[in-house]
Amino acid sequence: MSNIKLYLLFFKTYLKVKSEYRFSFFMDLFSQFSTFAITYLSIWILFGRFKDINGWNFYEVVFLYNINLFSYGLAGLFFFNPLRFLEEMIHSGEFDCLMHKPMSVFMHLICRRFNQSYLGYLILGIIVFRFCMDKLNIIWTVANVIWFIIVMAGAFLIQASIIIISGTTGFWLTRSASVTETIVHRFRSFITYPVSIYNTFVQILLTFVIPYAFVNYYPGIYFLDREDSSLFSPYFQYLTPVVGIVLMILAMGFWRIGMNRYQSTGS
Amino acid sequence: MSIIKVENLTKQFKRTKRKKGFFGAIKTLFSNEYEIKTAVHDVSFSVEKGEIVGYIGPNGAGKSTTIKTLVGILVPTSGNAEVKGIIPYQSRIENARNIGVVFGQRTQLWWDIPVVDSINLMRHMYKIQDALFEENMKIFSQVLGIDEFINTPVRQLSLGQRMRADLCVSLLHSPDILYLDEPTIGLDVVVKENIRNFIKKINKEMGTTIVLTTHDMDDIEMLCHRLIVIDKGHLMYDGDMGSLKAKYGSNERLTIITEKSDVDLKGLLALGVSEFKYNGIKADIQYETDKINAMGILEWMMQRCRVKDFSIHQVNIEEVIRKMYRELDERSKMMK
Ligand SMILES: Nc1ncnc2c1ncn2[C@@H]1O[C@H](COP(=O)(O)OP(=O)(O)OP(=O)(O)O)[C@@H](O)[C@H]1O
Ligand SMILES: [Mg+2]
Repeated sequence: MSNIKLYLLFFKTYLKVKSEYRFSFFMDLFSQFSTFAITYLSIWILFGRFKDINGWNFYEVVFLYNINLFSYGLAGLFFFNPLRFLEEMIHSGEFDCLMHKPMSVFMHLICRRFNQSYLGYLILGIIVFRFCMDKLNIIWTVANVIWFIIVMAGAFLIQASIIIISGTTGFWLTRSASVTETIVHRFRSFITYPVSIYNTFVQILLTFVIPYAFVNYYPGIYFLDREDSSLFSPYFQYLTPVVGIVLMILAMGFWRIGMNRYQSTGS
Repeated sequence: MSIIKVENLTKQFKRTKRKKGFFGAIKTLFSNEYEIKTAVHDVSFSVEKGEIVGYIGPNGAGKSTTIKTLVGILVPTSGNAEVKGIIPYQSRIENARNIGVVFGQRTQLWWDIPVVDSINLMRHMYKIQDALFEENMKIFSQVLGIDEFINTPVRQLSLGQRMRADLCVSLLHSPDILYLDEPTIGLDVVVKENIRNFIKKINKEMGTTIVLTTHDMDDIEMLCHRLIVIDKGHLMYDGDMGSLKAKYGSNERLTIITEKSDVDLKGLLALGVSEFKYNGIKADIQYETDKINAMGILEWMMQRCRVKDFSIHQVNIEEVIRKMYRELDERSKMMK
């Protein structure tokens, strides 16, 4: 509880400091906006040529992309910068300074860095979601809304866990930052489109190894009421929250292993 | 009751043996050949409440490793440590409430945000009572001059300012023990002086127990009642400054100014002089006080030339330590 209070204070302080440089604050947001606007644009251009991709129409693909973007934005807001820079903090010795404070080292790490540009992802995700909602055939019953929120929470956990796991490799690797960048940016770009368009290998990879497919593709099957054209069990469309929780438990376990290693090797 | 107890502490680091060249690098990746580096070897000591202990030794001696164990960052390979009855590497968080830590080369402050906000965050992290907080801030901002730069983001601070801010933050919760790992490294004389005075004041007025490592002899001379010396992980000396000087520093230096002459001072060597330099006017003579004293040398000189002036220099701790390190080095060479 007190950790959350501290985080909120940190968040407030950071925003206050960042917004003092108002110009660069908005430029950050804007540049993130434009990166993703370009992704939307490329989806749109693609659909100018093809009527559908593997049976998914433009709005459906945008819907998938939105779930990805929003859950990533939320996870990245808290976790990306701290874990991306973990390796650097270990290298510079700053990490030692996290360890002589009376709070969980992980929480302290999270309270240490922050990247306001992820706020841009969230805003953009909400705006685009609002626009494409009417074009989708989703009936928002109360049950559906609740399930959607649960799925978003699961997607958030998956995104967060993947960031945490890849950043935690910094306890072993001296170039873990590039591992994190590769997984979180390159691999995640696969789920811009429905994973059923990829070959078996990629589908297995995105389902069992780096399970990004559970962020948007599988729950998408449920919400858009699609024929499941993936290789695996139809039950996968309900598994997002479970995958999220399991992955987060694994991520925390992996973090503990990394910490134990650090406490015995000091590097 | 000792506030810090270290018993037979040993810390070894495993390092994978690196091989040269490209194929070597690949082999390194898959090999499980280790090289064991013993950073701290069977070290025992204890510290009483209210002491200022200088923990010194040449580079790579194992000072930081010991401090990190006491802080709870590292788990020892064998032996144990206890700080205020708590085993730091088992109850890291509990231990953290009792201690303040400053590592000279890195900051615990938030890099991007102003000092005042960092202080505020720490205040919440430690849940410091308002009254205590205000009292401490009053002392710190006065003695350390924090007010000058309290609104500046940490990354824009000079090294000296940052060090002062770090000291302030590490003491906000009035810890019983303060660990300082090279607190004066890279600072100018004025800031060093300021920090030393502050450390003294904290120790005297708040009764804070202080363990500090340093390579700066003035720090030792001005702050430490007691010295613990380690070298290559081994404890070499533990005691007060006076006995250390007596043990290693029975040296004095005498400077004599004469009228121009060509006396050969070699004759002094037999009398207990260990080193000399003479250019016909100025003589620099080192001798061991248990063999000869300044009067003896002066008499010897006055019989041979006209002495115009002279001065006696007490050995300072720097020379004592330098001599000690040199002896440690020679001893370990002989062992090889
Ligand atoms: N994390 C680590 N992994 C491997 N070896 C280490 C590690 N940390 C320290 N060492 C080695 O252990 C020895 C003691 O290091 P330590 O940092 O404790 O020395 P120190 O007395 O603080 O030296 P300095 O005065 O240079 O700061 C050195 O030989 C160092 O190379
Ligand atoms: Mg050191």
